[in-house]
Amino acid sequence: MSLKQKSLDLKNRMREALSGGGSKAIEKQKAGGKLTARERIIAILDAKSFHEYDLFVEHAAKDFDMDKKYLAGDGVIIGTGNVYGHPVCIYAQDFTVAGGSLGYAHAKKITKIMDQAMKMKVPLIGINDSGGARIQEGVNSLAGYGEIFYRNTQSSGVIPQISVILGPCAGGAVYSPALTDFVFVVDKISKMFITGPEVIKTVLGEDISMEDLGGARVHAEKTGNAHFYAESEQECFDQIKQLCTYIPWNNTKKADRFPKKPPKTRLFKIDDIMPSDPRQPYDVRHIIKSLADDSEFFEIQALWAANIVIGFARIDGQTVGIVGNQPLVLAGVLDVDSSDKAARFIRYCDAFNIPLLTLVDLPGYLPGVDQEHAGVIRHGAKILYAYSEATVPKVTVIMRKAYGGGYIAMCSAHLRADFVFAWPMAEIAVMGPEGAANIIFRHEIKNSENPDKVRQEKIEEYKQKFANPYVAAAYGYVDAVIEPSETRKMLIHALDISASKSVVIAKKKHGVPPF
Amino acid sequence: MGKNDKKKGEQFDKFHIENSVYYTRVPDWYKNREVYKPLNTKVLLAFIPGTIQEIQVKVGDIVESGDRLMILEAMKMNNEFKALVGGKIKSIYVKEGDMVRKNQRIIDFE
Repeated sequence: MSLKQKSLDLKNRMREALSGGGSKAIEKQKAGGKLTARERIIAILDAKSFHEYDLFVEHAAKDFDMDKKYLAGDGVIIGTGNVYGHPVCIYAQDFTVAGGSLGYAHAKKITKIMDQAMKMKVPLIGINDSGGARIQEGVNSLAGYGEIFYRNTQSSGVIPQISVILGPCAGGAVYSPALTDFVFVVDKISKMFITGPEVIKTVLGEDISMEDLGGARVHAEKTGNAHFYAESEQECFDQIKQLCTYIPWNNTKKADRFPKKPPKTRLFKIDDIMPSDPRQPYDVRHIIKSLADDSEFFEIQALWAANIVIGFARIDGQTVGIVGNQPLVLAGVLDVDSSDKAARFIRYCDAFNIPLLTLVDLPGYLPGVDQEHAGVIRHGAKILYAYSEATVPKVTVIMRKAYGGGYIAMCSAHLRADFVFAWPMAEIAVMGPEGAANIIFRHEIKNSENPDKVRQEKIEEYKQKFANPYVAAAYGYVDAVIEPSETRKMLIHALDISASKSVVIAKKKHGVPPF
Repeated sequence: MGKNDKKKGEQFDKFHIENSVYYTRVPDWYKNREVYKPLNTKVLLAFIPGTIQEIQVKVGDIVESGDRLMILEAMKMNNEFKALVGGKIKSIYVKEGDMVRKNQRIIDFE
C-alpha cells in the first residue's frame, strides 16, 4: 500500500468506528431528546479540545455468536480535553452500540481513562447511558464493574469525579456514580435503580413506572442520589461547566481565584431579609447572596433535604463551601437527610481545600419516632464527624437560633471553627425559651395560682437572660458579636488570616466515620 | 428592621419544637409521614407478599409464643409465620394456595 492508500485506509477504519450503532439507532437515540455519546462529550468540552483514544478497541467475546458481532468502540468513548482551558479525562457510554452494555473491553477502556485521570491528577467526567452488564460476557462484565468501583474509591478525595446520568443506569452500574462526588441527572432521560419495575412487579406484586421508581426527579428530591437536576441535556452540560469553575483540579491544588466582585446589596441586604419576629422564616439563600461575590450562589442538592442549604460561592474571588440552615423549611432543623447532605459536602470541601462557611439558625434536631427509628443518631453523628475532621479554614456565623445539639453540630468553636461570629439577634442556648422555662421553673409554674401567667413571666425572664449571644461570648465560645452588615468584611479577613492554616492530626490509616 | 415583614405573601405552616412555635414550610413528606402505631399482637399481617404454602393451625387452637402457624412462599423462599405471643386463634382469613399482599390480614387472636 502506498502512503496515500494507508491514509485512506485509516480514514475508512475511522469512519466505520465513528458510526456507532448506525443511523437507525442514532435516530432512535435522538428522538428521546438525547444526544449521541460523542456529541455529549463535545458539548461539555471546550471547542475542538477533545481527543479520543481506543477508537479501534474491539471485544474478544466468543460465546452466544458474539464473535460474529462488530461493536463500534465496544460501546464506549474515552478521551481527554479541556473545560475552560483546564484538562480533564472523560468517557461516555454509547447507547446506540449494543445498548451501551458493559463487557470486558468496554470496561477496560473506562478503567484506562480512569487510571490516566489518577496519574495526571485531573478530574474524571463519566457519562452513563447503558442497559447494564453485557450478559453474553458473563463474569467478565461483573469484573469490569468491580474494577471501576475500585478505581472510583481510590480516586475519591484525590481528583474530582463527576457522573452524568444520561439514560438508563441500572443494577450494579449505579454504584459507580454513587461512589463519585457529583451526580447530574436530566428529567425524563436519567433512570437509576438496583432492581427495575419488572422484577419488583414479579417478586413483590408492586406496580411502579420506571420514572416513579428511579427517574431524575426521584433522585433529586427523594433519595438524594443526584446533586444536580436539569430539564434538558444542554442545561445539564452548563451546570457541569459551572461546577468546574468552583472546584480545584486535584487535592493538592486550590480552586481558581476569580476577580473579586461586591454583592448586589441593593437586591440582597441582610437588614431587609431578616424578619423582626424571630419565629418568622426567611430564605437563607438570600443571606448567602448578600455575602457572596456578585450575589452568585451555586446550590447543590437544592431539591433534597431542603431544610439545609449547601453549595459554592466566591468571597473576594475565592471559592467557599457554604452550609446554611434553612429557616424556610422545617424551621431549619437537622434530621436524617439534612445531616447526611451536609456531612458529605463538608468532607468534599475538606478533601479539596475549600474553606467552609457555616450559617447557623436552627431550633435543634427534628423530633419524632420516624426520625429516631430512621437512625437520626447515626446520621446526625456524620455532621459532627465531618466538621471535627475538617482542617480547612472554618468560619461560622450564628445568625439567630443556635439551640442544643444543633448549636454544637453546626461548626461550633468546640468542633474547631477557626472563627465564630454572632449577630446581635443570635440566641445561643441549650433550648428555646418556652421549653427551657417549662423545665427549669416546672414547680414554680405548677404550684402557682396562675400557672399561665407565671409561665409567661418565666419565659420572658429566660429570654432576657439567655436568648442572646452574650452568655456564649462571655465564655469565649463566640469570638465576636458583629453587626450583620459587617459580616462580609469579617469573612474576607477571616479567610485571609486562614490562608496558611495548618493543623496537626494524629497519625492514622483512616477514621471510622458513622457513614 | 425587616422589609420582608411587609411582604406577607406566603402563608406559612405552624411548626412546633419543644413548646416553641415556628412559621415555616412543612414539606409533604413530613406531613404525610407514617404515624407510629404500637405493634398489635392480636392480629397477624403478611410481612411480605407471597403464596400460603401450608397452614399448621386451625380456629380454636391455643398456641404458644414461637409456635409455627403457617408457611408463606415469597421470593423463592419458604418463610415461617410464628406466633408473637401465646393465645387462642379466633379466625383465619386465608387458605392454602392463596396469594397474599403485603400487610394483608392473615390471623386474628382472641
